[in-house]
Amino acid sequence: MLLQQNIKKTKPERLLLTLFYVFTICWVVMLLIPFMWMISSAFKNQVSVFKMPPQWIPPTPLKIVLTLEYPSSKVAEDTLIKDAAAAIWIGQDQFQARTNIQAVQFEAVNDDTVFFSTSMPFYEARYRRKNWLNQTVLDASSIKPHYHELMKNIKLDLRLKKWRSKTGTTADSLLIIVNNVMENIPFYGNIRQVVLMKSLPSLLDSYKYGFKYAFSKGTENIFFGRFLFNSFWVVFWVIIIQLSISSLAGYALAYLLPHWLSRLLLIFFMATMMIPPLLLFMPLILIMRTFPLAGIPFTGIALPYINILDSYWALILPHTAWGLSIYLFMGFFKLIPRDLLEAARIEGCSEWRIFFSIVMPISKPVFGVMTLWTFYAVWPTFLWPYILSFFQDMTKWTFPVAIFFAEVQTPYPNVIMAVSVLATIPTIIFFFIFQRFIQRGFVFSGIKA
Amino acid sequence: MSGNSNLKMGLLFILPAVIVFLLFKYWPILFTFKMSFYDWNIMQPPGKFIGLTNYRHMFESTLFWTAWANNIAIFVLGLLVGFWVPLVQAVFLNEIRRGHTFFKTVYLIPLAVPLLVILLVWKWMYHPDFGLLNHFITMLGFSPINWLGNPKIAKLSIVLPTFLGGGIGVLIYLSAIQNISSEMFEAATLDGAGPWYKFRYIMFPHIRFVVAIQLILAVIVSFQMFTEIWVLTGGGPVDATRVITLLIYRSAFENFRMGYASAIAVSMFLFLLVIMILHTIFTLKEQDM
Repeated sequence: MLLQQNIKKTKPERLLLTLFYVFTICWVVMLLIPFMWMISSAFKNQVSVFKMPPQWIPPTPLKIVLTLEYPSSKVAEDTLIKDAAAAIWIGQDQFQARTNIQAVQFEAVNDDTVFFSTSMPFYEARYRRKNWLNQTVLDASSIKPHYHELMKNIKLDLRLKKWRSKTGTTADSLLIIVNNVMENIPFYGNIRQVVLMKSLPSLLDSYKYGFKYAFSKGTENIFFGRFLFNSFWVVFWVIIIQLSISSLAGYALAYLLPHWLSRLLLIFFMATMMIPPLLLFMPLILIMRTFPLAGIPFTGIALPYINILDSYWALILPHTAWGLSIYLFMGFFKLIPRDLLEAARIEGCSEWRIFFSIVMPISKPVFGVMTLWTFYAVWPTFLWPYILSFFQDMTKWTFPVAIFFAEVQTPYPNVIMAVSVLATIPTIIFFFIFQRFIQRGFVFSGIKA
Repeated sequence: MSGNSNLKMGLLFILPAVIVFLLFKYWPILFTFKMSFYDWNIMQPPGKFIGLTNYRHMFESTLFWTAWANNIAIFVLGLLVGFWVPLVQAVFLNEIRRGHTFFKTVYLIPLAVPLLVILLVWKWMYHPDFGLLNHFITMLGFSPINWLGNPKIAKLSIVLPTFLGGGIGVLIYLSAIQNISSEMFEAATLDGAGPWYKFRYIMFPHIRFVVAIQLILAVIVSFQMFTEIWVLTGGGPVDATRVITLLIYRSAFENFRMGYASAIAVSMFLFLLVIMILHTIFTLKEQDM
């Protein structure tokens, strides 16, 4: 409006408008850089993520394909597993810290027939190794005593296939080094071919690592899926409880209570939004431990209580009191024509009936908006679950808490970024589906702040 | 239908909400006040009543005053770095016709990403050796900066993410600007007023209150800030970013001095109460307009 659109612009005005465009575009690009960087980092491995200067496009991951030839296809499985273990762990030991090689594929052949094959990504090998082998440089003899544990629960392909000679992607010095390393391992079989091949699925290795192992505590692993589930579970119950409580309260404030009382109660509800959340957390811990009340206040008389500190309820309940939600429901219900409700009352409907069969069906938009807002308020909450995490079992962590602890534990930024991407996907999906709802929410609220 | 039965139903409908608010908002806040007068014992609550001793300790502690100073410094830096950005963007966006929706959507993206994720990305960008920011800085010919480890820069690093925060502020200002009637601008144009004049004497007076409300909200948000600092610096280096909320957290959950932590919390509460009363007054004034 500073520069009118419909009136013909003068030269300086056009210049100014161009300047606005340039600034805004620059701004948008800068705004997106952190998110681009997050996505880019998430597709790297633990080597390329530390490359300087930074690469925006992750390098193509490679895998070593090793083919060993055996005198007969009746070789004992144990021997084959021993050879595979040596190839995988020595490969991981030699190459994971220097190159973009991210997996080993092992094949055993006899007369152009593959009769045994297996493969393993390096992140898996690294993780398994952590528990068994602590020395810095591995050789075949240090793996031998542990091979059984190392290869536990690994998929072995025992089908017979025709072997075809493979063409690798690189024929450079890296391949020579790989060849050298493999030739020095005392395999039972003879090396027929060693090649380096592109392995595009390995781009997702950071995600897989994050999903499986980023949150190990001692020998116990709790998978990322668990934390994701916890977050969804908490959000789900908060939405159910909070929407029921607030919609009933909003209806009562809008129609049922005398004016002075509903004014008073509205202040009672809205004033709580001014309390800094951190203030409530210390007493809330105590309240959760002796729920609902430790005793009659200020009398010292004890009452029966239950300890819900180590349960989902401790995560859920404090979110159920949200003043804004009641205010929005009340605002929306006030828009419903009074005649409609009066007609129902004259017909003899009870208030419950009116609420469930008349008010709720026409209030779908406000329920939609509040579902969305509650999701965005609860899903990323960090502080309360974080404080609770000191009193709770690890299986109750919500994902922000899990990511926070993973960041403390894991030295690999690529894994943290991958988990961050996973955590962002649900909110982005919600955002693009319900974008209109968000803006409609502003309209209902009538608040400008 | 009698009003009496309406009242009964109304009380029944509102009862769950009242219970929940009493239990999870009012009871805890009373509890905090109570705890601040005790040498609170977690194992055998409530512990010993010690009157105002917690408050005396608090006022005597230098860290308490350092924390307030840090809070104020972070708030002022936040004003310089991030506060004006949404306003300027809204003014620009108001002029832009082509790609208007696209830009608006992009500004909302940071809202959809959880705060913790944004902070972890920034922490990775701040990495002294492998971070993106230091790469850009060395490309421009400067020496790399230890963003989170240098006490002089740590405060700036805390507020820098708000510079690229985008977010809801842009939309709030934009809707305020679009509420101004275009006739006034047209009249000014006919009188030969330039863009600056129109901004200064037509647009700004109309959105003055919105800016004031945003400013007060910025105070509230800035003084309640916890996650940002906890994730990025954890209060370090050398207490350069140790703010009141972190002090409460440390006293309560690391040193387990709940009574002392409550005393600090009460001091914060009283401060914010004043700010929030201001906020209410401004909001009411703005709605009267």
